[in-house]
Amino acid sequence: MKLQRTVYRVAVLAAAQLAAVLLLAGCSSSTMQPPAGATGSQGGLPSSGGASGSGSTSGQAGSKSSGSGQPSGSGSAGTGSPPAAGSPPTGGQPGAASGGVPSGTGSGEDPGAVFDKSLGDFDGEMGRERETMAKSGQGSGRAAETRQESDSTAVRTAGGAGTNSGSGTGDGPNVSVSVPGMGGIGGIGGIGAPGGIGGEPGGMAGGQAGGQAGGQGSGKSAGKGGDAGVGPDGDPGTPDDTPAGADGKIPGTGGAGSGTPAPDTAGGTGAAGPGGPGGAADGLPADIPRDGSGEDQVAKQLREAAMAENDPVIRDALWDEYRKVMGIRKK
Amino acid sequence: MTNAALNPVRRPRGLLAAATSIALAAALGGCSVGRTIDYEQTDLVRAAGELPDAERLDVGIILFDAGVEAGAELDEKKLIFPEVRQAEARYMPYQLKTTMEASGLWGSVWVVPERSDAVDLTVWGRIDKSDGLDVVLRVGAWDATGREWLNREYAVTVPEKAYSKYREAGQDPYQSVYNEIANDLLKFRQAMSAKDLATVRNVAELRYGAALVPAAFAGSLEQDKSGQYRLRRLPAADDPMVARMRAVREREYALADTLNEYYANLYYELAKPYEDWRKMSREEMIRYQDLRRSAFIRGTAGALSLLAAVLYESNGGDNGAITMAGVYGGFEGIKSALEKRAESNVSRDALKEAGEGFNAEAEPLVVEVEGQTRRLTGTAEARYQEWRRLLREIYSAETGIAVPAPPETAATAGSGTPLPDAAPAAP
Repeated sequence: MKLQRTVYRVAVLAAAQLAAVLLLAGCSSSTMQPPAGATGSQGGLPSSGGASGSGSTSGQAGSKSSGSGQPSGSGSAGTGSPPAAGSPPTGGQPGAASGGVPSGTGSGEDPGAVFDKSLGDFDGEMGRERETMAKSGQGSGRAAETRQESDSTAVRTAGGAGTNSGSGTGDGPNVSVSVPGMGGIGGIGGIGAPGGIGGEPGGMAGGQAGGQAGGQGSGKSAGKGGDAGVGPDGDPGTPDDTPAGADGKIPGTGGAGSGTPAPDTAGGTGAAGPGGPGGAADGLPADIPRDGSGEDQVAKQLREAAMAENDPVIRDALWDEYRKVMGIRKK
Repeated sequence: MTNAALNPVRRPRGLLAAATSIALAAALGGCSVGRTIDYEQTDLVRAAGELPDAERLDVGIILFDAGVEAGAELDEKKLIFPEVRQAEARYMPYQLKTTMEASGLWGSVWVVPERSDAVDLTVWGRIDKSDGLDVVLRVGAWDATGREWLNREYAVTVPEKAYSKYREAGQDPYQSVYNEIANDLLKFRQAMSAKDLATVRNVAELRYGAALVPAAFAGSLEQDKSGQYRLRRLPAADDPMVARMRAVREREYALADTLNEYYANLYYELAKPYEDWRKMSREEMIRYQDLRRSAFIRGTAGALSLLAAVLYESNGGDNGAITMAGVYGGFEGIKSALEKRAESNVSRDALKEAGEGFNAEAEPLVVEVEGQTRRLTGTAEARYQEWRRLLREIYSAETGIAVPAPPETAATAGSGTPLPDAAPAAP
């Protein structure tokens, strides 16, 4: 009797709940997946859900362990029978002499000469094959090309929206500041087309920071910055111009010497460059490792670009990017 | 007298049911599962200085076993794309090759279509799992004497940072696995004496020679009971037949170099789309697995909640609110589980779509490199048969010993041994 009452109460509650669910489902059907499809397709899936990966993996490994489906190799001299599963690579034991006579070349030619000629012919074939590949830009020759391409892609993308600054108008501090926005990584792109802009140091720097764009605008903009010449990070000529604190880590200057932290106008990450250590002997900010330990290719190129950079604003931006790549927290 | 005194069991049961309901509700609320990937980066051991040539073993990495039958259909359940796997079976050995080369601790490293006696060390692997998130490879290595260097499973769950655009160029998202394999091989090699290494190199050369001119070199080797090769004697250094055998072996290296140009081509063509696919697949796989797990937890919790409500009532529970909470929680759980499953289906479809996209991209590349491999190995095979015949004649002419023609075989130069069966076997 009690059980009946219980079941009855639960059934009533369940019915009410079900009605509510259906009502809700009807109201929000535009954002849900069709329940029929959802439940239907789930029918065959394991009830344990998706967390059963490791089990199935080991199962697969086990099922493959019989060696079925492996590529087969046949012995060229082959009297050896294939080894049983689990054995090391064996077989292919040289065939034993068992009757028959040498066939001879049949042409009366010296086999040694024919052999040498055949080797030469093969060399020619392989040489032609490699040459054809090289001419069509295929093969491992692409390695350097691809690597260069991926580097420059990383360079371009790492600056984020900053690449837009390549078309900067080149007037005033804001433009100069926007150059670091594209991230000093742009400077690496500039290695491919360094500057091409302006003969003066500032212009060249802009070209580097302009990355692949190498636009006239960036050259100009950096030219301005270069002229302004605040020199953190050990620029021998201008360390005093930098409002660096005792620890040399006060945010640096605007490109035209405005002394204000650079707004991130280019959407990039190169906001205000850090003030340098007030002209360290080796030109490295204090937080940059001297030995370059742990550097990857991008970081290495950034370091080289920063060390070669004359424009302090761009140099700061390059060091900023270097810090980002290396995961050095800016102090 | 209190109820508890009259029925000491009843109230705790009610409390238990209530607690269960609350716990289930909490579980439902918090079962949007996140996951922290435990990842340990393995760095590649690199050469500290120049290594003597005698200690540099030449390595042949056989194209990996894709872990699926060629021409197999898409495995809907495991989301295994056969053409993707076929592409990986060619991409992964090449990445391992570049890794081993980068260590500076090996001689020449080639990817080879099948086992070759021209190399000192043969490496082979099978792809058990690769979806951008988890990679499981089984890798074996054997030297020319037949000694097994390693035969084990490598499994890594790939972290998001492995796909970072700031990582070093040439570093694959699965780089830790390749580094681990290379380091393990190195560890084994370092445990060997210089004499052992020299033996491996000599045996490799003589096995190649024995496959090429059995009459001249077969007697230099013997196999022990375990099937391992041992040196019986070395041929004279100025033996002209040794020089000829080495000349042929050089051609096999040239063939391997050329083949590797094609594999390199595939590797570079595939690198970007393969990485994109893996990155996307990783994200979707995490989402999919989380949703499936979440759906399971919610469904189970819902069912348990309903059960708890029934048990509570059947044991005389007189608090309607508890029953109500249990039933309500149960239905909410089940409803929520269904929703999560529907969401997981969307993720699954996204995975499938991405896989099919990459599948379509990889397939022609694989077909092309396979075609080139067959063409080149076919050419080389014809030459190899010719060289075997000529060397047999030369040997007969020089020694006066009549050497019979061996039966025709279909192997390429130096592939006189079957593939290592042990690769897929348990260690």
